[in-house]
Amino acid sequence: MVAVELLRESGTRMLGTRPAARAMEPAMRAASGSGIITLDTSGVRRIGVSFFDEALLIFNEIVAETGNRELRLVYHQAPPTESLKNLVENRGLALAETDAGDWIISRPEAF
Amino acid sequence: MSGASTWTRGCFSAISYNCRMHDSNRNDFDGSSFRLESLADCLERWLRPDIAATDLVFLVQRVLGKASRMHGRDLLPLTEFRTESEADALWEKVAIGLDERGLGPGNVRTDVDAVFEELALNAAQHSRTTASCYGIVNVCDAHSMLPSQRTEAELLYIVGISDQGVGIPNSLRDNPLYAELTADRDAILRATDMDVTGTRSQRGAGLHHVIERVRAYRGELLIISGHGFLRVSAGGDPRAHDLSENNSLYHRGTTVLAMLPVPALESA
Repeated sequence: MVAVELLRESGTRMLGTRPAARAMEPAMRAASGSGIITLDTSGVRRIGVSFFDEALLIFNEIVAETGNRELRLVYHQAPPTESLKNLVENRGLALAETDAGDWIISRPEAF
Repeated sequence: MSGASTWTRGCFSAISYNCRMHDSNRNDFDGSSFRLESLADCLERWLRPDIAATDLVFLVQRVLGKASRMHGRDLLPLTEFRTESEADALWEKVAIGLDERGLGPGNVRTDVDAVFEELALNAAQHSRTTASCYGIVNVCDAHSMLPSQRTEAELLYIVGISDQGVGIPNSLRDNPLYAELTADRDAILRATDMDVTGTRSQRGAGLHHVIERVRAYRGELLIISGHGFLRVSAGGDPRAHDLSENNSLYHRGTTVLAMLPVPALESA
């Protein structure tokens, strides 16, 4: 499993826009083959609403294209903005948290 | 830069101009009959449910003007920006300031900077003007600022963003799906729904998220744009109105003022 290192891929500690999320798409697609797309937030100070929402949409696109409804999107070390969780349900997804502080997002039926 | 004077001249010139033009029988706007001595006075009046739109506009100007003059607790003094990257840089400055000062619980601080980021990004992305946008973030002692029924809150975060661009209604109507929204108040209200935007991308979570955050804290929100305004009061449902009965009042661009009353230490 290869994690997408958001800081290294983006070069910024503030990830706010949808284009910034789209820039992660190739790496997310490459990682999806393992069944888990891990976004490593190490070194990232904040993730904004638009970035987070667009990453969810990319995830949904990959699920639709591959047909892999077991696919998971994992934020390794969850973003500090807890209210982002509210966006997950808006995109028809479900979220679980691990004791280690990761967020695991997937289609509801996958949990 | 003199923050308050720049704010007054830049951000609210259109509002003030139109208010003076169309309410020349009133003396409110020069302060002679509407004298406010403190930010607390402004907020107390702003929170009245029966306040007139013209007074509301005036009070926003005063709240932000006074907030910009407060010393020591301004997380972001009145600051000019134009581009997305400049908005991002200000967002980081606000986030660092919030983290370093440790004012309020962590989840509150990240919500405050998220509100700032969304509003600033919207201004930079959608105002479609070469004129500057302005932002300000301030934190005050809620006990001295809010009426007594709000004393459970200890801190009051104030986030203000203003631009002089095309405004939310015109921006939204660029999308054929919403072209029929002829009343500015209806367009502003619609723009707060999930996935409603002026582009054809059918993306758009920002304003929706801002309103959710404001309501979660039983906060206050005012969005003024074009001929309309939207208000969330005491965490209630958003309500949109005309700025004036005959459309004589017009705000070129968009101005948003969000106020989040929060506890100092406990989770919100």
